Amino acid sequence: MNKKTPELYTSPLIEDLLNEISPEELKRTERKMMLAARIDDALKAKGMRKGDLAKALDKSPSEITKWLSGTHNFTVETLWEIGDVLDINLINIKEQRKDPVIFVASTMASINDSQKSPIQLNDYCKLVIDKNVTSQKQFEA
Amino acid sequence: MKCKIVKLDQFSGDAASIYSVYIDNEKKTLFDKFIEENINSFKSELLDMIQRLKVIGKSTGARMKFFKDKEGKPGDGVSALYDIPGTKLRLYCIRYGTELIILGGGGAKKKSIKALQEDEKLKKENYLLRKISEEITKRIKTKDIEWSNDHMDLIGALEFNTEDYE
Repeated sequence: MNKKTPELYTSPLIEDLLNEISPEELKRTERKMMLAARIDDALKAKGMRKGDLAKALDKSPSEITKWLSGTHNFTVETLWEIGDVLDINLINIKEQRKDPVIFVASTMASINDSQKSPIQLNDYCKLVIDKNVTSQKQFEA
Repeated sequence: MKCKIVKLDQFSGDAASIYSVYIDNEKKTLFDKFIEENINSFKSELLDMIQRLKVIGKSTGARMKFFKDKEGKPGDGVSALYDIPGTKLRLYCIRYGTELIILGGGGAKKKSIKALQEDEKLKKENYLLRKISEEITKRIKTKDIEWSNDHMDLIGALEFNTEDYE
């Protein structure tokens, strides 16, 4: 016999509150919680308990509890210190290039005359993308 | 006491299912009542809790570290959402692993109290969840309530009278 599945309930009160939260705020909360989860996972992977981390960093256990609760705003220094103890990289400081796509000069032929005047590189790339030019040879800067 | 367990659509996601409970013939779930009781005095704290619950359902699951555990009897899963130092609002829930939580009510913690039993409101909300947890456990044992195959949901007799098993 099939068991009854739970009834779904959409709460107007929750909806009202969710409407007051911006996507940016929610993203910040998500990042804090994901970071705490990552530290927690790394602790487990190292076979350490939060008391061990507290000792290694000369902090109180209650401070580590807060770190792992997903509500803490970490400083960069703290993340480096935690990363050193747990052998993980919590801040990637290697350059992450967002390589602009540059089109070869022949692409210019597809741009309206009126737009051949000096333009910024960003404008140029946007123009190319807007015009959906896909056949031109492209390479990364 | 009549209980009806429902799944909260706005919080539940791929990482965890989040439920609350209607008691007797109340028109609001325990969590809705919690919002109503605290929206005027603790709105910013409520907004923070709402965000955390949303992220738990969507991304992280109900990790133990996001909660204050052992708020009930041993093994009954009664916990509280982690209290940020300096905040006043306490929200009780029943946590079943990282996949499922049932939200109850709560209230403001007074600085002067050391144990929840010293505050009538917190005691009432906490003991209600202990009772609900006990009733769910009885029904899981008799298979009136079961886990779904993916362990993300409770299925079966999610509407029950506590007197049924007395």
